[in-house]
Amino acid sequence: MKKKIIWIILAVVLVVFLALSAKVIDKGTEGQYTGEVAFDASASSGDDWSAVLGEITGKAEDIASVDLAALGDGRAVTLKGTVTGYESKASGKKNTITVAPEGYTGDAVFTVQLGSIYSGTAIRDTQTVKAFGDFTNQTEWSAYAKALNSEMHEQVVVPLNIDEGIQGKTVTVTGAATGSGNDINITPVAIAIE
Amino acid sequence: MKKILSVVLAVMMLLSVAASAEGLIYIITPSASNPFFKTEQVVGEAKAVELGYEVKCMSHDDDAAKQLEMFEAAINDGASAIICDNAGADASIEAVKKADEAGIPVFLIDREINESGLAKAQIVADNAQGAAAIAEKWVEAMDYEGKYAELLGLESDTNCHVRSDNYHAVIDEYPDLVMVSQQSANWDQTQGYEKTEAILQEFGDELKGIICGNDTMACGAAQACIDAGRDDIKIIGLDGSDEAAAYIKDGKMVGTALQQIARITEMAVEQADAFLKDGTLPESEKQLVPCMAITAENVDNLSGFVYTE
Amino acid sequence: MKKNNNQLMMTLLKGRTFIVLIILVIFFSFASSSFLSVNTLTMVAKHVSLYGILALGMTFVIITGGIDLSVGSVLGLTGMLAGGLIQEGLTVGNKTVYFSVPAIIVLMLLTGCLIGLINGLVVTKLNVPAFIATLGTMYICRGMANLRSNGATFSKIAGFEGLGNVGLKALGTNWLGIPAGVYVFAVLAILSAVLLNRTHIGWHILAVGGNEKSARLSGIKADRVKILVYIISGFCAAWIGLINTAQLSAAHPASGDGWEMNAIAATVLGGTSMAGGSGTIVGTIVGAFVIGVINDGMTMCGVSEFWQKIIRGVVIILAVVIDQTQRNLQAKMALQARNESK
Repeated sequence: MKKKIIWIILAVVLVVFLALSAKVIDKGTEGQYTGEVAFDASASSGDDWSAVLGEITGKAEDIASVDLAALGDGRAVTLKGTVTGYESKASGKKNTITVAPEGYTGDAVFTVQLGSIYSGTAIRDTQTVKAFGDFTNQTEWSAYAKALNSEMHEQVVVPLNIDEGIQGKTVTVTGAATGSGNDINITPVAIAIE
Repeated sequence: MKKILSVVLAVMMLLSVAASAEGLIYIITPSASNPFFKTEQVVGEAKAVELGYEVKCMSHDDDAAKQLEMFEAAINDGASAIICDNAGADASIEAVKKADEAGIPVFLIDREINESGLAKAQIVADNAQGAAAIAEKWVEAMDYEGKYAELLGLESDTNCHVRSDNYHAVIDEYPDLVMVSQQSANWDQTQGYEKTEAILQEFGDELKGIICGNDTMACGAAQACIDAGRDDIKIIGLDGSDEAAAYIKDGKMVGTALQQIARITEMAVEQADAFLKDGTLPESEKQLVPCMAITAENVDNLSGFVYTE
Repeated sequence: MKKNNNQLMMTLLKGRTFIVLIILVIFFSFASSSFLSVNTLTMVAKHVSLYGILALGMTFVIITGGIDLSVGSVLGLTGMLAGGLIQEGLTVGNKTVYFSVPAIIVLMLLTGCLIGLINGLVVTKLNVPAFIATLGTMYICRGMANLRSNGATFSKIAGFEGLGNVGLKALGTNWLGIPAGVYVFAVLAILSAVLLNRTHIGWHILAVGGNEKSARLSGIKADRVKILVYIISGFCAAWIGLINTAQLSAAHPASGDGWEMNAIAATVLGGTSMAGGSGTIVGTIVGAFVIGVINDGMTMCGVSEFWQKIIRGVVIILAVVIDQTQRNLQAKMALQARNESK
C-alpha cells in the first residue's frame, strides 16, 4: 500500500514536471520562434530567373563559332535556323525539335528540348548567378537545377504553344548546350519563332 | 617467453617508424571491404606517400561515433591533415569541427557535410547529377513505360536519399513508369540478390526494370535476374565498379554512373599538400566532380574507377 | 611450494585484466609517441565511458545469467527520440509540444527503462531465452529508430532559445576539462558498485545468477530481480543515447549499431562469468578501459581495420580462456585445501 502511494506520487510529480517544462505552439509555426526558413528551390529560382536569363542571353555565342567538342557541363549558345523535325515522346511529355542552323556546315544534329520534362542541368551549370557553395548540399543544388528548368518552361515554352506545325519555320533559340560529337542538346532560355 | 618478448619489441619498432618529414595524413573512410572505399585508401595513400607523407588509413564503418573517436585520435596523434569520406552529412559536422578547432585541416572526399567553413575542401562526387544522368538512360531503355522496382541503400545514409530522390526526380515525371516495390538492400550484394528473387517471384513477367542505389546491389540484382532467366530486365546501379562494368558489357545491366573517386582522392591529397606546404587554399571549398553515365557504349573505357578516353 | 605457486598464479589471474591494461598502455606508449599524454588519456576516458556505461548495465544482466543484445538499438532509438523531440517536437492535432532538455532526458531514461521492462517481462513471464528476447527488441528498436525519421538524421540538436529546448549539447562537452560522459560514467559506476555490493538487491542479483532454484527457495523473488537487471541495462543504454547524440550534435538512426558487442566484451574481460553468479563493477570498468585502449591505441598506431577486428576477437577469446583457467585452478585449490584439512 505504502509502495503504491509512492509510485502514484512519483507519477504525479513527473506529469507536473513535464507539463511545466513543455512549450506548446501552433503546428507549423516554429519559424516564428527559431527564425529559421526552410529551403525552397522554386522560390529561389523564381527570384533568380531574370538574372539567369540576362546572363545566358548576354554571353551566348553563335553556334557556328563554338567548338562543339568542348561544350563541357553547359555553354551559352544562340542559333537561328529552320526547324527540321518535331518529336513527341513519353505521351507528349518529352517534346523536342531539331534545328538546322544557318551558316553551319558540320554534321551535328541540334536538338532543342521543349519539355515539359527536361533532361540534364544545363541551365544551372551555365549560369553563375548562384554557385554550388551557396547551397547546403547537392540535393538542394539539384533541386535548384530542376526549379530553373520548370521556371523556364512556364516563362518561355508554355506561352508559345508549340506543336507539329512548327516544322519548316525559322526559329532563333538561345540556351545552354551540352553534348559532344554529333548530338548537341540545347535547353532553351529564349525562343523566337518567325 | 623471451621469444614472445622479442616479437613484441619488433612489432613495436615497426609501429614506431620515425614520423615522416612532411607530416602525417590520416585517411578515414567507410569500410575498405567495399572496393570503392578501398580505392580511396589505396589511391590516397599512394599519392600522399609520393608527396612524402606518412599515412594512416582508418575505417569508421559508417558509424559517426566511431568516426568522431578516430578524428580525436588523429588530433591527439598530431596529424597534419585528415582526408575523410564521412559517415553522414549531419552526423559528421561535429568531428570536422573538432579537427578544425584543433587547427588540423580536413579535406572531405566523395560525400559532403551540411555545413561550410569547417573543412578546407569538400570534393564531392555529384551523386545527384549522376543519379539523374543514369536514370535518363534507364528511362530511355525502358521506353518510358513499365513496372519497376527500386533497391535502396542503407536508409540512414545520406547518399541513399540523394540517389533515390534524384532517380525519382527523373523517373516520376513519366506517369507510365510505375514503381511496384521499394525495398532496402542495405548496399549489400547478397541482400540485393535475395530481394530481387522475392520481387521476381511476386511480380513475375510484369516487372520490366530495377533501379539500384549502388553497383553492389545492382550486381546482386543482375545475377538474380540471370539465374531466373530474365535477361530482359533493365537494371541500373551507381558507383562505376569493375564488377558492374562486366555486367554492362554482357548486356545484363543498362548502366551505372561512375563516381570518379580516384580523381577526387588525388585532388584532395594534392590540395592538402598545397595547403600544408604554403597555405594555399582551393578556389572554393565545395567542389563538385561530375559523375559519368556509363552504358554499353562507353563501358570499355572504365577500369578501376578511372575513365580514360 | 606448489601451493604458493598456485596462490601467486591465482593473484595474477585475478588481477589479469588490470595487468593487461597496464601492459597495453606501456605498449602503446612505445608504439605511438603521442599516446601517453593527458589529452590522449582524457580522450580514451571519454570513449571508454560510452562502452563503459553500457557495460555497467550489461554486468548486472550477465551476472543473472542473461544477456542484453538490445542495448545498441536502445541507444539508437532513445537518441533518435530525443533528437526528434528537440527538432520537431511532439505534434498532437494542430498543436506542437516542445519539451525542455531536462524533461527530454527524464523521458528518454524512462523509455530506456520501459524497453528494459519489456525485455525482462518477455524473459521471465513468457519464458523466452534472454538471447532471443533481446535479439527481438534489438531489431524492433532499430526499426523504430529508422522509422522515426525515415532514415534521416536529426541535426538541430542544439535546440532553440525560442522553443526553450537548449542544453542537450552540454552532455557532449567538457566540464572542467573532463568530458561530461566521464562524470556520468563515474556516478553510474559508483551507484552500480554500491547496488551490487552493499545492498540486499545486489546480493539477490548474485544469488539468482549463482543458483536460481536455491535463490527462489530462500525466498528471493527471482523474476523481479531479473526484470530489474534489464531495466538497469535499458536505463544505461538510454544515457548513452543521450550522450552520443550530444557528442555528435546529431541523432543518427544507425547509432550504436553493434555496440552491444563492445559492452559484452568489456563485461567478460572484466571477469563476469557468462554462466552467471559472479562479476564485479570494478572488473567491468577495467575491461571497458582495455577495450577503449585497444581501439584508440590501434587507431593511433595505424593498424588496419581488418587487423583491428582480428586482434579484438583474439583478446576476447583469450579473456574467457583465462577465466576458465582461473575457475579450474580455484576448484583445484579448494579441493587441495579440503584434502589438507582432512
